Amino acid sequence: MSKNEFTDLSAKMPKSFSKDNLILEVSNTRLRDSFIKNTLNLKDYSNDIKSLNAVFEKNDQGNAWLQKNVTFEDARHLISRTGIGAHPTEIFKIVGLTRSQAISQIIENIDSRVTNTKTPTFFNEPYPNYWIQGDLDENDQQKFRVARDKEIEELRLWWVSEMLTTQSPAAEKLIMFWHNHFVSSYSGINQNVHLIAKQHWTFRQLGHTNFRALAKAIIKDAAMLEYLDNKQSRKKNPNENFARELLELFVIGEGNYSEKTVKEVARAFTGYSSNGLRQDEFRFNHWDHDNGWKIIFDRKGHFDGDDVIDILLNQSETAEFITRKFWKNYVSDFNFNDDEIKKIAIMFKSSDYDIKTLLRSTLSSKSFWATQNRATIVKSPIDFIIGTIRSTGRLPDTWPSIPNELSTLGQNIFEPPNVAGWPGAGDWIVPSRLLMRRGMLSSLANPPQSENLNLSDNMMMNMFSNANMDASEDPNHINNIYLRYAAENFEGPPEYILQAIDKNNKLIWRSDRTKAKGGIDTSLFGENNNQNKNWQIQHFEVPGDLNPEFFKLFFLNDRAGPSGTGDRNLFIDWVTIPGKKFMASDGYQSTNCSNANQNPGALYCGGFLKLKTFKSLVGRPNTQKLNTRNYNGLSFERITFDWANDLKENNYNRWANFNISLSKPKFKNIELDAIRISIVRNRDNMGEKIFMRLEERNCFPSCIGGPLPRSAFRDNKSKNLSVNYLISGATDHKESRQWYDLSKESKEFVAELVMAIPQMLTEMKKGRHWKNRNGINKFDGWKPVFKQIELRLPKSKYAKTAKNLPIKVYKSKNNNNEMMQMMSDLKSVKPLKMHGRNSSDVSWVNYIGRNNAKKPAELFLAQAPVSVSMESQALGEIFSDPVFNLK
Amino acid sequence: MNRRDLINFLAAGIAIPLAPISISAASIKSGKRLILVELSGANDGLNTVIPIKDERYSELRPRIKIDRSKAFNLGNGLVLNSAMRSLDGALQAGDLAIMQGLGYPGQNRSHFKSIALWETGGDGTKSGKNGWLTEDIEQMAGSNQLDAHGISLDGGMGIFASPSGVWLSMTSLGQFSTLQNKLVMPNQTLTNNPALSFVLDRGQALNSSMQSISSKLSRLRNKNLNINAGDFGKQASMAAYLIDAGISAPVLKIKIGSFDTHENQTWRHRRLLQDLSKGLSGLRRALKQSGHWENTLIMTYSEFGRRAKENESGGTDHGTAAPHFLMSGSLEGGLWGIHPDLGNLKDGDVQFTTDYRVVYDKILSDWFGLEQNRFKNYRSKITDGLFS
Repeated sequence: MSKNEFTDLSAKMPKSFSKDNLILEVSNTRLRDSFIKNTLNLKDYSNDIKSLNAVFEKNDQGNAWLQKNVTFEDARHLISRTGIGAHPTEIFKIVGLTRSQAISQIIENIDSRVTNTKTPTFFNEPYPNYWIQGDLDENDQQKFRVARDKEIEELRLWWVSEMLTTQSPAAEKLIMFWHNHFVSSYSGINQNVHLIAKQHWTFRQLGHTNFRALAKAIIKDAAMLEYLDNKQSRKKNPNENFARELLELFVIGEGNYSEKTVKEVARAFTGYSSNGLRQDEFRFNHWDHDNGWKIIFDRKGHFDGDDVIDILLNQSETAEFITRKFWKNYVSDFNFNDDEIKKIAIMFKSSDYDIKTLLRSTLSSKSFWATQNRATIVKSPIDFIIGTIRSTGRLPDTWPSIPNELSTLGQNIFEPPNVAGWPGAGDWIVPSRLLMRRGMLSSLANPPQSENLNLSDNMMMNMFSNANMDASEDPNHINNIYLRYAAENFEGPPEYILQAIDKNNKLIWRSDRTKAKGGIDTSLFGENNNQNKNWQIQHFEVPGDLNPEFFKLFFLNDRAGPSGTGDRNLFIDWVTIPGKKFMASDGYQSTNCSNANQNPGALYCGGFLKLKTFKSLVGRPNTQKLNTRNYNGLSFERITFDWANDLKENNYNRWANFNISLSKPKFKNIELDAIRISIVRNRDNMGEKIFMRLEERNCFPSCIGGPLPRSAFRDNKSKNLSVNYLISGATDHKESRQWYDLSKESKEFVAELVMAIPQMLTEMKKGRHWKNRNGINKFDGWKPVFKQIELRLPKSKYAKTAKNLPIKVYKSKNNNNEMMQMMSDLKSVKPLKMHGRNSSDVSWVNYIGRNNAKKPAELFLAQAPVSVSMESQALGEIFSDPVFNLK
Repeated sequence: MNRRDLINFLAAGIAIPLAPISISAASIKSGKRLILVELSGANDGLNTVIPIKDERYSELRPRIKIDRSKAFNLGNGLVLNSAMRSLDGALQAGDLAIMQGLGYPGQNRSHFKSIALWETGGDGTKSGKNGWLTEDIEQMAGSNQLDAHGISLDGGMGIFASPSGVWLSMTSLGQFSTLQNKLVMPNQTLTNNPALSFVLDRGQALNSSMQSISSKLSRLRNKNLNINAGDFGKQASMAAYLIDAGISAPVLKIKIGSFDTHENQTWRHRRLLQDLSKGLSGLRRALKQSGHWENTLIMTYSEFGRRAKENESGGTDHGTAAPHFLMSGSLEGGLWGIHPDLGNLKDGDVQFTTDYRVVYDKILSDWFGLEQNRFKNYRSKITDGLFS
């Protein structure tokens, strides 16, 4: 096919997903209830796909290899390359179609906007104040980090469950492709799990649409700007890191640009930052942006980031660079056909970077179908584990530990090793990982299945409702006890007994001696020190009345090998009875390793754990009002020093700021997430003025409980609004309007804020920012100003409006709602429906081997085996064939 | 170029290397070995090797400074934290060299990013993708006869990142014997599928490594090489067992942490340094006993040093340059390089006096005999005479 034919073809294709405005909705989310929103609404989306497919199918008629009928082997190849594994039902669905039609089915089915399983609970919880983290003491910082670590585990597990259950595996595959292309990592951005989740959502919404739109969203993605140090990139001192990786790894590829281009691109991205005081949304700091002329690929202009993307996408190398990466992902790790890659790239570019066109063109290439390219891609850990589970249709009850297993094999989701991502190919099977793959074969072939893990929603609610109150009269009543634990095995699993004991220290119930499930074999994989554990929930039914004061858990069979060869351990998280939760971490532990007893719940040695204090679980989880404070005055969760200009004696700067940030200020009906107040001292012709300034960009969701008054100052460049409330000095017409224009409620709020300044100055000294940001030194210089404020306030207009009650500071709740946490603990053990079916219907055995002529090896191997017989019926044997590492 | 090389290049999807392999053909037969010790979390260099006579030291660290009474003398106005007392023997014997002021231009203060730079030989302008010594070690003549190119005993493989070579992770001594039986690899490797050919080649190399390692371990001569220094001691003693069993792997890696002492540094740091020096001196004792000390070099490394000025919480924040330790029976002990000048701080941080890659070059060129290594451009006279 000539170049011209491609161009003609592209002219016929729908263009609706190439518009820049796709991205704006995503990056401007300002809704308060959830930081993640499905904002993309592509009209006639499916019609566009249909017409794209129609254009291609018509064109494919001229290509003999695409008119062949799809065989079982072809179908298996297409499904496992575009998706995650290949289940017989997926395969048989397309056997007999022409290859062209089969590709259409794949393309039509790509849509990741609607998710299959419930999104993580933290998506709907209040956005944590990351900006305040540094102000907390060590203990609270630790709690903050632990909360984030739990959330990233939840996010990982959720994505894994999505990949396990999705009906659109090709879409998940694309998201993974972009995660490994536009790379950021959880550790690389200070454990900000919310930013990683937002970035994931961008891939989910745009990853199958248009590359230009996606690239323009990524250059405004807060996780990326943090990961590649662009947040600190300023006109005076541009940081080239982001610019360099954008060129080298994200868009145009190494060797296709000069060092000078890197510098110019870096200038275009100065001031691309994010607003930490709000929900870390993208912010263009125009005062840090270098608006000068830049020369990028022979074009000259006052370019910004969007312009850079447009310029780079005009270069012919870009389409080829991305196409080559697609080739490696879909066609072959080892065989490249430059001519075909070039042709696909032309197609990609002329569709204005439509990602589905790129995918469809790649799958339509002769090379994709060629026999010599079958089994020439090394399976990623996701292919290897999740793909195998999807192919067999047999979900192990240990599936919640899949994120760990992926990590053991080198693919810790949201944690690529560096900005280049997982290298893949040979890197997936470096010796240590090849070994680990071997260690996992038997459990993939014979997944551990347990009998009764059917936690229904009803049973979940059982744990929360205070059921035993009304049930005490019913002698047939059953009490449900749940225990959350994780195990590490060594020559067998840990065994335990759980006891319930009442107020009088009397034993009222005890469990049988029970074997822990889901443990990891430490002799093979070592101790699982820093990783997620494979948490399990054990359910006990106890007849009759039960009102325990505490629980006791005995670890009965501790065992360890010689130094470093393995260890049997048991970890306990919590025990519940209806309405009550007993936390191991609040308990007391006594084992024969005295040094390991400070961490109740981690049983490294034989002994017992006493779960003493309980929390009551009453009513349904409520996400709306987590922090209700009934106080008539002004209250906060935290008051922190932010920064200040130096104001030593000899400093005659006209403007000087002293900034204090307030977390969760509340007064009457006004309840805000965060605001920053600036105490400003200004010297001009009219003498010295002192006032409090509020700026819109430093407030979330607003500064005063509503929009700032119309008389507010507006910065021409940033459109940022601000208001000044005078404390001392000569007034100004506009400034007094800013006060009189306020509603009654806002007026009261502002008055309270101003009047509270002296109290805030005391309160802020309790945090770490005060010390670490050198507040003490700055404070000295500001003393005369603060003195003046104290003098003026009692006589001010604010004093007349404000009640001037003392401010109150409430300790913030670091730990999420108990019940929310439990809901997500429980969710991880709920059964998943694979391929939309119950687990009993979906096993591969129902579809292959018996009445069907196909052999198991044909289903599970991408080419004929080299070490086992084609006739083998044993999965363990088939999986151990070296070919099993390939797809 | 042999078939394995070819496969490796295919696997990495890269071009043929510029320099012919034979140029750096040092032989693996020397039996030289390197043990890398990661001080995870960033060790506070200034309270490890202390400029005790410098008044600015006590000014910078009024609360957490180390008393002269709690240190032992190194000369040049420097003392070593007394928590490291158990290394006195090595110091007296000239087996302990201290490389001062190591760092790199464009300091990155993120743990995650900076350790990746040390692992791959990068700096503030450019990070590497492969481990700093993987390519050079793999290219040594006879390196295909080894049991492994390197073994990590702490699970961390970042420093061994390589598209080729046999770089193993071993978290327990019994691990390989347990896994060995599970490897199914046909002997015939004739296939025209390059991917399969690659898998088979890897599998066979791994098989023979594991067989060799586990059979050597089963014949361990010395059963008492335990080193008492917490979790670090466990790893150190595993290293001693591997070496004693005659396992040929030029690089071993162990780790101790966490040195991230933002708060209450004094006692935490003390305990860490105690474990570190007990582990290192235990390793020295074990290797002397088994006759491997002359052929073994130990090197510590860490993300960065810590801020010269203490913080308000009795700790220190992320900083820049720090000293590191080299130990061996065949080196010239004592102080090497230049201690950073406390009068010349930049943003409260000391400035590095020697690029850490000078040491990387020194180890590759003089210890392993790889003159033409990745870091040859960093070669510096400052390390002349380090290896006797």
